[in-house]
Amino acid sequence: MDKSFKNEFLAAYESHADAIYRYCFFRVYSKERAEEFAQETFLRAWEYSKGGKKIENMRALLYRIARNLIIDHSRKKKEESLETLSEETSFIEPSSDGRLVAEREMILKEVMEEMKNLGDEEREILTMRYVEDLDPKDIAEILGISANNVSVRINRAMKRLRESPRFRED
Amino acid sequence: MEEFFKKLNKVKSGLRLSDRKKDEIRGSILRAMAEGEMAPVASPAGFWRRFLRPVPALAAFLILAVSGTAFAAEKSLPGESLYWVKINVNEKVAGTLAVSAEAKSDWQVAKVERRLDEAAELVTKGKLTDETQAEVESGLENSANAVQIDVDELNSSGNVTAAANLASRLESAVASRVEVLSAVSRNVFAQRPAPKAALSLIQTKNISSGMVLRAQKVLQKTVESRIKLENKVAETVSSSVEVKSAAEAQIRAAVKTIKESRNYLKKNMKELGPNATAAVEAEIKAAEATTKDASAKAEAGLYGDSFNLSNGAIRAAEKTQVIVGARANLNVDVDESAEIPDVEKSATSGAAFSAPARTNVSSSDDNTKTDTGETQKIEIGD
Repeated sequence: MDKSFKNEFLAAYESHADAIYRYCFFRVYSKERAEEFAQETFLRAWEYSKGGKKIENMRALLYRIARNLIIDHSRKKKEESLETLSEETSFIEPSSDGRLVAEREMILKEVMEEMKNLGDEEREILTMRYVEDLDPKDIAEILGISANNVSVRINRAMKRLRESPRFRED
Repeated sequence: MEEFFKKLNKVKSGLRLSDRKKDEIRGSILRAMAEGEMAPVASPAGFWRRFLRPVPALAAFLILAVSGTAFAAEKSLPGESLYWVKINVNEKVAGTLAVSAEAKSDWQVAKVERRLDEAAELVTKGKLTDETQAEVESGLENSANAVQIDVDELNSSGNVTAAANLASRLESAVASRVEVLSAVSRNVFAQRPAPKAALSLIQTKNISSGMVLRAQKVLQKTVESRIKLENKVAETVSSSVEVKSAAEAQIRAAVKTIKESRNYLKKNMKELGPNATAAVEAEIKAAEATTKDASAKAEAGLYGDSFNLSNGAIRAAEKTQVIVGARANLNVDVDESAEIPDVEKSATSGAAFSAPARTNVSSSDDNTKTDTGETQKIEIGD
């Protein structure tokens, strides 16, 4: 196996690992499971790419694999309630400022609570757009739909978010 | 809302893999690289993928056509080795050959039909598994979405009758096949009378019920879209020349489809038997009556109403062809009185869409149950 090919793959891992983890986290609302999905995503991507297939867009490939893994998983397991999953206590990685971590932990739980009423598809598209700052064009490539359709879905998800009781009170 | 995005920005940088976990994953990648210890992902289509990778679809099709593979692939089902050829060679070539926008939309409708026909055949043959279901559903949703995008584009460019016509074609493709799928799903036990592997049958039934549910969701969206567009046709542009011409064309199309349906029924009367033949004949007559109503509306200058009635007649006539085909090819009777939800009523009233009843036999294995809220898998690769 070409050494530079391996290095390229490892570089892709360093670049995209956190993003893929965040994507999985907002799909499954569990740190532990998001880690498992992220790991499996990269291992599958390696299996896929080592066959010599030219990868035009590694990021899109990684999202697709992660997405399919989560869908497969949700088919095989009865969906666990997001209510239960959000009982996990710690999501934010520690930094030198313990107070900041605690504050972020609290804010994240609020965000999770606010997104809980969205459907899978809506949570997914908002995560891609506003957590990972992906353009509709990039999202379109990942989801295999048109950029126009992505924009429609984002608008629909935003509308749904605005309609939630929490935001209506604002 | 602004507050929400501020919160999101605050937390996202802290939401990352721990250094320890990152090292752990990197280690497992390095091990996989070094040892090649992971088994390759099993794929029956692997051979074809490797063989055809460098060859453009059309050239591949010509190569495979000469060997007869492309034709054999046409009959393949998800999970079979030639299915990859069917999807990635045959269908890509057919898609490329559809040049006009209308032909491209028609081809997407045809792909919706192909996926639903495959689903019914998989259930009938006891080959519907989580994997094959996922493959069919993914293709179904992609093609149905593609058609819906075309419908939206036609509508937004002011071509409302063409949009309504396309939405009606999609609905027609889906509606009757959902009934067939539902019928074969109900008949899983009846068709396989020696349930040595009872659990396998229960699983098939559960998976197929999930498949029916997904197809019904696609249908519901389609019906909603068609109704909105038909209302628009009837209310806003009834007097225009464009609608007059569309209404006249649609009457001709309805007459042609009814004729085709009658011929198809004649050809398959033996397989159907007298009762089913009489039932289908009654449906065709009803479609004929609707076409007459459409003509009367057109004569009265109500072109929008006429157009919508003709579309309804076409859908009804096309449905009879699918039902006759199901009987002739799958040996399935589509029982009209069975548990098919009234999609149109549900679409117009906004009522919650109900799932078909599942088998009462409980299975300890939840793996086969399909979550109604799940999204579809997408194809990996370029």
